[in-house]
Formats: sequence, structure tokens, C-alpha cells
Amino acid sequence: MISKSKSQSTDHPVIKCVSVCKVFGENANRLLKHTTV
Amino acid sequence: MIDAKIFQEAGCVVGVNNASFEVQKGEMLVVMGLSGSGKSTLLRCISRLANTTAGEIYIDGEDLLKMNSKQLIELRRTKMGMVFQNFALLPHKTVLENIAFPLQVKGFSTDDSIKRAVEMVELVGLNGRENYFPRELSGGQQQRVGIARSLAVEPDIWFLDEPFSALDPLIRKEMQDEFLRLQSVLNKTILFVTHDFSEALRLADRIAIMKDGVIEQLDTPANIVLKPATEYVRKFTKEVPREKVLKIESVMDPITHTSDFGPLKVSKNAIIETVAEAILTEQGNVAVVDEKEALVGSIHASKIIQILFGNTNLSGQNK
Repeated sequence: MISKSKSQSTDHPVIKCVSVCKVFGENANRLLKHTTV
Repeated sequence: MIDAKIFQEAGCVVGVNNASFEVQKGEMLVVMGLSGSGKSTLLRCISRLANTTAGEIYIDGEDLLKMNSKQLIELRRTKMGMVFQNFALLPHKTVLENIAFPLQVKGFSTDDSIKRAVEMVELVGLNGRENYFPRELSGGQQQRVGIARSLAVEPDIWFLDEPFSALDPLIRKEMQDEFLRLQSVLNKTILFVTHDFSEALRLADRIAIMKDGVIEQLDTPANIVLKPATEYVRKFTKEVPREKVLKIESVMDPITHTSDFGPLKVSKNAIIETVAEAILTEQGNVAVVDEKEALVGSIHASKIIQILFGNTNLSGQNK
């Protein structure tokens, strides 16, 4: 059985995403300002 | 969280909706979802192959979205490695030349880049095929070249977008084993995208399950199987044989002062299936030990029988 890697904690994460949104379309940015709930 | 309906009515499509998470050094996060769930879009946002509409992304503490083109090129050249489903090899270059190519772009001399490429060929087990062209290789071999090429620049972060999806099931399993072997040696920070739930369970330290751009659940494979957060996640986990996924530590009992153990010891990290037979032959409690052989729990054959024959109500004890 090949074992999985072990997570190692560091001072800060290597990748950190905060409320990431991706909207496709021309009006995306304009709409986003008015529709975030 | 944004209201996807309003965007749809305005002719927009929400690819990723309010994704927040962290990936630690050496961790493998698998992003799993069906076609159109937003998993590849999320990966493309984090590698900045696509621009995000809102939110923040940090790579090693640095704000990715504030980087200029020069900083971004440097980041991709030095820290990020990418592997794609369609291999994306250069057809007119040999195996060695394909692997050496990103090094040459980075400024390595031809000699140094070829020397490094030879090491990579060995790492991914393609010895003897150094001078083959991509068309002369099988799908699995081509993806090994793709993996070797992405590793040649020694990236800290490895992005893999459905790297094994184009391979037939037997080769896929082989490549997963190979991938786990590589990760046990290299210990990269990995974001791995797949639509295959069993692949996610097999490879991941943690899994993020996506639907309609939203992360439905982000947790360890054991917790996803034992405690699905939504009905959608439950559908994926319903048919999963628990003994093939769960580790002993997920179902072991705590040690009590009355615990009495036979001679058998099992590792807390052992997948249940691999030790079930041995535990079933024991009359009493079996000791569960950690990496340092310290006693951390206890497991009885009756618990294994519950898992193997259908009692899935084990969530009270999982970690």
C-alpha cells in the first residue's frame, strides 16, 4: 500500500483563497457590485 | 455568496461562487466535481490563467491578484508546475527535449537542461524512451512526460487538471500509484482537479466537492464519507465501500483502563481493508499504534464486521 503524503503546517498557508468568485460575461463586474448577498 | 440566478438572467455564468480555503505546505487538496461544476475554473483562477471577478488569492502570503505581469511570469517559472489532461506536449520535440524545454525558457544552458531532463525521465520511469517523439508513446507515457516536464523546474506548487482522465482505467490506477509515490518523495503542495470521486478518495489529504461553482464540502476523505454535509455529497458517498477508504483511526475506540490487548498491533494509518482479516482472527481488542508505536486506541473485530456488513453509523468516532 502506498501511503498518502502527510500535511505539514507552516506559519502561513501556501495557497489561501478568500471569497473567490469568477463570473463569465460582459456585465459581471457591474452586476457583482449590486448583487452580493 | 452571489446569487447565481440574477447573473444568469443577465446572460452571465457563475463559474466559482465564494470559494474560501487554505492549502498547507505538502498537502494535496483534490477539487472534485462533475463537468461544469467550476473545478477547473477555480484552478485557473488560482494559477491566474483566468482573472477572478472578486475575492483574494494569496500564494505563500503574497497577493496573487496584485502581481504585475513580470512578477506573475516569475512566479509561474519558479513556483508553479502545471499538468493538463491533454498532455500539451510539443509534437516535434522528443521526450528529453519536451522536458528540457521549460528549463531552457528559464535560461538553463542546453547541457544543463538535458542533464536535468535525464534525471526527470528516470524519476517518472521513462528510461529508454528519451529520444521518442510523443506520437510514439502511449497515453500513460505521454502524461509521464507531462509530469516530468512540470517537475523539471522544481515547482513548490503543483496544479494538475484532470491529468489521468484521458487514460484507460488500468493505466489510470498505475499512474495514481506512481503519482502517490512521487508525492511521498517530493512532498509538493498540490491542487488536483478530477471528476472521479474514487480518484479523489485515493489521492487526497482533503477533498473539496464542487457543484454549480460552490464548494459543497471541504474535508478529509474519511469525514466526507462518514459525515457528508449535503445531500449532493451524500449521493457520491453512498456507494463507497468504507473499508477501502477509511483508516483505522477513523473508527478506533479510545483506550480505557480496562482495555486488554492481544499480541496483534495495527497502525492507525492503515486502511481498514488491509488489516481487516488480521483483526477478525483476534478474539479480544487489538491495539492501535501511531508512527512511533505508541498506543493510541483500540479496535475490536465486531467494529470491523459493522463496517464490512453495512452498519455505517460510525460517525461518532471518526476524526
